[in-house]
Amino acid sequence: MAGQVFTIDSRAGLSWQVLRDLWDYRELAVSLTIRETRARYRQSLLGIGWAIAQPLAMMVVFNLVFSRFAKIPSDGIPYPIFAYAALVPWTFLSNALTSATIGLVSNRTIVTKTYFPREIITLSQVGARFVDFLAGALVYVGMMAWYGIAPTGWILLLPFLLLVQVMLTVGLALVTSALHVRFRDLAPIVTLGLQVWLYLTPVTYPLSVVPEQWRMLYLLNPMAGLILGYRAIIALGQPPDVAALALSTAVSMVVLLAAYPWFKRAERSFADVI
Amino acid sequence: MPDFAVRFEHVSKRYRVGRPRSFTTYFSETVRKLSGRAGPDQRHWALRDVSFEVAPGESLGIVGSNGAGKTTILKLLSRVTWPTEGRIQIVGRVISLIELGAGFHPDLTGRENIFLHGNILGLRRQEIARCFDDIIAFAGIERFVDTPVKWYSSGMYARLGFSVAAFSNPDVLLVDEVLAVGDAAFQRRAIDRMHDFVREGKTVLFVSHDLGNVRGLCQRVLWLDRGQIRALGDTEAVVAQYLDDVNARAVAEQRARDRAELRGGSGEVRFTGWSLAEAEAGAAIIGPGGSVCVRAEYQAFQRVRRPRFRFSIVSPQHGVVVGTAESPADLDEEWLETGTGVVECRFDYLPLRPGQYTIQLAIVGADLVGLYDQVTVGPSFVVSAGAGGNGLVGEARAQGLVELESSIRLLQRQPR
Repeated sequence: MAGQVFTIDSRAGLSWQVLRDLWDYRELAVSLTIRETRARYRQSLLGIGWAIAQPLAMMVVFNLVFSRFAKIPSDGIPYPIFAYAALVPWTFLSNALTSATIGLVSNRTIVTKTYFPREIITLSQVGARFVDFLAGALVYVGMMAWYGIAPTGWILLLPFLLLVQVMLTVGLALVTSALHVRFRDLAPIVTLGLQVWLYLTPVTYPLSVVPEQWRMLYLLNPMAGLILGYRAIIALGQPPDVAALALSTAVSMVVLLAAYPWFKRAERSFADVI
Repeated sequence: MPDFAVRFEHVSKRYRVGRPRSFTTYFSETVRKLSGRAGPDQRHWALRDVSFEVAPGESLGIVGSNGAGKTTILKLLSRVTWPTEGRIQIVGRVISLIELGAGFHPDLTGRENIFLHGNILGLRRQEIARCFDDIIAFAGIERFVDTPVKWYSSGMYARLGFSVAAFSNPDVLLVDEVLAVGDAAFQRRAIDRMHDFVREGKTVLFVSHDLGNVRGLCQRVLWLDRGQIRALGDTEAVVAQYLDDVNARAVAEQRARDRAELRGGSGEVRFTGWSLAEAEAGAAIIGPGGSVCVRAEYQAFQRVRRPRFRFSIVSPQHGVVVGTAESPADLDEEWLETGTGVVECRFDYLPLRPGQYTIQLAIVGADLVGLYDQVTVGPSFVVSAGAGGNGLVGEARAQGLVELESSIRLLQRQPR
């Protein structure tokens, strides 16, 4: 960096410099992720156990309500396995989006005092929730062993599904967190939105209960294709629905590619209005 | 290599003022804008068309009253905020000592926070590891390095924040009033560290209200006034101009207050006018050892028992130099009746060193407790070495305000 002339021009547009900046600050993304995780679980008795408790509790309740009371079908596998395969990634999305939305404002002290690419904060919030996701996934391994379900080779697609979900989460979080800097209304809007979204996603029920004529529209929800994918490759040991997954991937990429440049423009005034 | 380290070209920065916008006000404002009815101007220019350059290795002080735009300049340089107009160029890495420990997380230990804060400043892990020991030694927190910083004292917290930044290796260093942290010993070390930076040929931009430090550290000074450059140049010259302006403003403000309703005292007797007897208008000039005669008109609205008139000579920098509070010698009655009058106070011999002085007037009760009236900035006069007077010539390097007759003799000497 020494000897390099850096220019800040009020009229300048975006350039590839943005990506180089992001790369220069990669260590900060890791540090903030660690800080986020450590700080959250330090001085708490259950520690990282809380990351497991949340999807586990939801699974127990859903099992009771949807499987026992409402008799929702579960694609021929035990309902807990069926629901938990969706609940762990859903919890990741939901928690990541919630905490990333308020991330810029809760890190106000560093945003108003120091410079770094602001998306680092969004990335680190998502990263910290990914650590939780890993803890939740570990429990799933135990559950599969309990029910005697062996994974098939399709499980190797898991990293790809996670990548798509992270792109989607980061893209959405960039928009909601930037808006939250200006309008604090975003926090309740996101909470409400996630509740509605949960029921529009096949987390607690299989796709088969959705009427045929609604399927196309239903699958435009990128989380639908993803959740179906997770369930197929992990719990059912089957290939994912390629069309649904391709649609999810396309929607997620569009969200991220549209959100990032918009965020970088909005970023210039964060410190002034936060 | 460019011949500058920092360059501002016609830089302006505008802030919104007033209530923050919510969704609803945002829409109503947009509707109003579209319908051509603009609301009240909610904009404030923190900087307006500012251009200057700082040479590599130069240390520039930035002075100005609150709200002049000093911190905005540093915030623009540290890229925290974006200019509304203009262009800024910076050569090399910028580290700012603007906010100490801003990135600290209270639940993390000193060690964890050093790395985190270093990352926030743009340092790599290896770079931080290399000077880790220096950082904790400088901050004096060796014993507490694995303690969460929320249990640190505020002094330790700030010292650690300073130390991380102080051991980074910047090309351009931004400093904003941070030397006020810690105890006197730490401040000393902090200032020394700043001098190291200057000696090492780093470019330093230094914002401070402590003009002593500005003088000690900076080669040139930029004086900002309401977002614009008032002066830029040699430190001594600009600091002197700035001080004159600050004093003049303080005097004008006080005069306005003396005239207005805010004037102190219970008001049974008030001064209605005051002047120096010898001077026709404005400030009188006397030599060291000269004399001054103040005349003041008063009006008594009630009968008052033996008021005392107090005349004090005040130096703007040093406070009251000398004062007297007496009843006029020719007021032989017990009571000062209602009505008006004129009092005169003579200081026959004023062995003052050259400088500017003002006279404070007050009317106090016989017991010296009650205060009827007070004029904090009355007439002023200048003591000038060249103005003759009583033959005293102030030694240029003398200290203090008063010139007394003194002599120094050598009483004992033991050569080896």
